[in-house]
Amino acid sequence: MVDRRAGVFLVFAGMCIALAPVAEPEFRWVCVTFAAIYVLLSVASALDARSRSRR
Amino acid sequence: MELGVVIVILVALAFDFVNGFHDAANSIATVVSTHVLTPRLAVAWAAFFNFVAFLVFGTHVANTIAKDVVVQDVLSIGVVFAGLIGAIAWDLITFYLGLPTSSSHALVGGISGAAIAKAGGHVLVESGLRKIGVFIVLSPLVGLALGLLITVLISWLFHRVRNVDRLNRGFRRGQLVSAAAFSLGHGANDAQKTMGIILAVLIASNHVPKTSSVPLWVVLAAHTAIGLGTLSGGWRIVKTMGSKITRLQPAGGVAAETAAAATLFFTSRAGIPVSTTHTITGAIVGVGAAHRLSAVRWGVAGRVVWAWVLTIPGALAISYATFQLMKVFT
Repeated sequence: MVDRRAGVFLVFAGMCIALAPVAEPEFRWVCVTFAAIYVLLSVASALDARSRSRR
Repeated sequence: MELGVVIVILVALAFDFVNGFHDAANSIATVVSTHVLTPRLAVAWAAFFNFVAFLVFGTHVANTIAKDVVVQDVLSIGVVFAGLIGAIAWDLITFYLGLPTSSSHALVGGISGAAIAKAGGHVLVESGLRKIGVFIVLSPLVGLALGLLITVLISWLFHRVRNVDRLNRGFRRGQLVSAAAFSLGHGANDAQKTMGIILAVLIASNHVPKTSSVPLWVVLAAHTAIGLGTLSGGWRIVKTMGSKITRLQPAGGVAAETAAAATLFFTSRAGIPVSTTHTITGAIVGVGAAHRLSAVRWGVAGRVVWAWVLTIPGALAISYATFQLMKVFT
């Protein structure tokens, strides 16, 4: 089963990356950085859920 | 100074007061819900840091509000007045409904609506509104990610501690610092919006040149108004923010406030008017989501999101109608 939290974080990553082209050039790094953070959080959450389900 | 200018400045300061009353409750919600301070002490604590924010931050946000929402040539005493009426009316409606919406976006919507009523949609400054629009979405997401990361960091650092009571006592003290930091960020970002409005009306009435920075008396008046508003308190919203989104422990309070403060410090320095409500809500959700998604009451969070979506159109419509009414009677 897919971890629901991981899915939510992926949606947030998508929202951040979708804002990048709309943002002023000086603030694009904020969008990209937080998209990357949400992808990492999504992976971490999925791994956490997997290890919990194995216990 | 003409009577009209004085009246608009007083209304702007009243908006700031209502903003303190409405939004500053967020600064103390977590401190009150975790019983670190009594409500009375918490508002005094927040009001103090709201006031001293002017010593720490510049006036970049004020300049954005005064110069980057609508073109300066369209600004007049009537536009600013109608804009403020739209924003205040929206704030009061959502306060009555107990919804933690954004005074900042109400202000942007209000000024935009009045300016459109005066001269049409072309007077909106696309780049400024884009910056504000992007951070409407981004600021809660940044707050959420930081809130979650700080919660994970705290868990890593203290997971071996066996004496939970002692740990909680430590975090209760820590919350005094994090709440102060958040109040500082709130004072910096939200008081500056009023400064921006007053600067706009001073430019429109030729009391200061277009290139002028915010006069010191405006800075002091705005911080005083928001501080007094905070002292008056807004308990309905404290209840929503402090307990209905997720139940917070002292460590969670520290994480949420630190995350929100960091976001506000960045945006205040960058001249981006964001909602303190959006930011702290995101951070509180982040703390809850660090444990599990079901720790967050998504129904309340969703109701808040709806209020966010409606704020700019709602305030815009009220100020548009107000300006049209003013045209009929003048």
